[in-house]
Amino acid sequence: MNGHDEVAALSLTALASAIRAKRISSVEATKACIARIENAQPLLNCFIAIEADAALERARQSDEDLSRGKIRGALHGVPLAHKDLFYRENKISTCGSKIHRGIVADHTATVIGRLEAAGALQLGTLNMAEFALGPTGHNEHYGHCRNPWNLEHISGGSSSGSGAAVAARLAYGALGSDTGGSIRIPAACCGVVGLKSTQTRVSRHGVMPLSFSLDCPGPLARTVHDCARLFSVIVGPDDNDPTTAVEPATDFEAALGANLKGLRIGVCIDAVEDDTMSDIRHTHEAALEVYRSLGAEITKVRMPDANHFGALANVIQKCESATVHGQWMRTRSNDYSEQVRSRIEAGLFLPAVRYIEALSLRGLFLREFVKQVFETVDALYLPTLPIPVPTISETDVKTGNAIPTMVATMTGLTRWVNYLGLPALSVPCGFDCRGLPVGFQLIGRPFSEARLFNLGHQYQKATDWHERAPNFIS
Amino acid sequence: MKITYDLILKQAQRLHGIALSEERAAELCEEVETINRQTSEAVASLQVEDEPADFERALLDLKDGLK
Repeated sequence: MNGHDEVAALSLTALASAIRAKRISSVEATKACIARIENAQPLLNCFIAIEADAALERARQSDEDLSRGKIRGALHGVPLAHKDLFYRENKISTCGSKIHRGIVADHTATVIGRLEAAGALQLGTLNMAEFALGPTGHNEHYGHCRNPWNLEHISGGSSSGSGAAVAARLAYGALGSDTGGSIRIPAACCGVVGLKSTQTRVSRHGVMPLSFSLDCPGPLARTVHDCARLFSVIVGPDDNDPTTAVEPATDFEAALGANLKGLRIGVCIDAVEDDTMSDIRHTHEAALEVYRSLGAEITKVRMPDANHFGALANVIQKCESATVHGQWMRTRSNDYSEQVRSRIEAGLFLPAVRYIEALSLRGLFLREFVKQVFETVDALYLPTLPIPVPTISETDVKTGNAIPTMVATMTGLTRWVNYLGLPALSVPCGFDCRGLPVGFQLIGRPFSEARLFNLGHQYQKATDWHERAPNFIS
Repeated sequence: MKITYDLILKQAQRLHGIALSEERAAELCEEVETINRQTSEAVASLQVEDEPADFERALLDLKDGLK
C-alpha cells in the first residue's frame, strides 16, 4: 500500500478528524483520491467528469482557512463526488443522458450547497443510469459503470458511480438518489452503506426529478458513521422545496452509541426463505446472529403483500416520469436509449385516475403497514437484493417486456419502501461464493433514521466487512 | 374489456403526438394490462375520504420516538 492508498483507506469521519487535527492536509487527501481515480477510471468508468484542478484549488483554500483557524464545518476539506444529477449553478449536469449534456444549471441543489457550506469539496460528477432510470449501472451514452469487486458484474444503479467510487476508495462519500432502490442497490452491489431517508426529509431542490413523489436524495459511504455525518449535513427543511418536512435538526452521530439490548428486529419470513436467496442466505443468517449476540431480539414477521406496494409505486413513477419527459419524448425521442424510452412510455397510457388512486392509497397503506409491523418490532431486516449481484451481460436487456421483468426482479425488495416513504439503510454483510458483496437493509418507522444508523453502526463495530477493499488495480 | 394495441396506437398519436410501431404498441399494451391487473386489487381498498395529502399526515402521525 502506498501513501496515497493509506490516506484513501481512511473513513470519511477519520479523515475529517485528521484534517482538523492537521495530521493530514486536504490537499494530501485530494491528491490521494485523484491518483486513485486516474488508475481506476479506465477500469470502472464511475466518473462522468473529473474536476481535479477545481478540487485541488478548493483543497488548498481549505488548508489555508484551517491554518488561520477557520473551520467551515463537519466536512472541512473532505473530498466527495456525486451522482451527476445534482445541479450546480453555471455547470452542466448530464443526468447520465444525451439530452441534458448541453444544459447549464441556473441554480445549485440545496444538498450540494449544504455540503459545500460544511466544507466538503467535489472531485467530479459520477456515472449514473440515464435519467436515473435503471437498477443496474448500464449507460449507453457514457458507458457502463463496473463493479470494483469484479469488473464483469454490475455496479447496481441508478447511483452506479456513487456505489463504485466509494467502494473503490476514490471518494470518501457520495450523494445518490433513490426512487425505487437507486441508492440501496448500488450500495449493496458494491459493498458500501447507503441511506434512503424518510420521504420529505431531504430537499429535492436542484435535483433532477425522476418521480417527485418518490425521489429521495441521500448519502453513500463506507461506514454507517460516515453516512450519519453526511445525512446530518444535508437533512432538514428547505424553503426552496416546500415538500420537505419541518423536523428539528437531529445529531445523528450522537445516537450511535445506544445499546441494542432488547431492541426487536423483525425478519420477513417470505424474503429470507425465498429459494432464489439460497446462495446468500447463510450471509444473512450470520448477520442476524451478530444482532442476537449484541442483545437484539430477532422475531419473524409476516408483512403485508409488498408486491401491491411495488406495483402502486410503479404506477406513480411511470406517470410522473412520463410527465417530466413528455416534451422531450415528443421532440427528442431518438436521444433516449431504447431501454429508458421504453420504461417511460408506459406512463403515457395509464389513466390519471389510476395515478391518483395510487397516491391516495399511500397514507392508508402506510398506516396499515406500521400497525402490522412496527407495533411488534423496532426495525425490519430484509436483504437489499433478492439475488446475488448479476453480471453486466446477464442484465443487458435492451428491448421489449424483458425490461420490466428485469427491473422488477432487481427492485423487488426496495421499490415498495419508496411507496410507503419509510427510511431504509443498506449495510454490507459479507460476500457470495463469487466474491461479490451482499447487503441487508434495515427499514424503520417514519423519521427513525437515528435508530437505523445506530443499528447499522453497532453491526459494523462487531464486524469488519466495511473495512475490506476491492483489489481491482493490479 | 381488454386493452388493445390499436387503442395504444391511437392514444399515442392523438393524445401525445407520438408515433409508435405496431410491435411497440403491442408490447405497451401487455405492460399496461399487467400494471392494471397488479393494481386493481389494491385499488379496491380505496375509501371515499382517501386523498394524496393523507400520506404526509401519516408520515408525521407515525413518527418514530427514539427508544
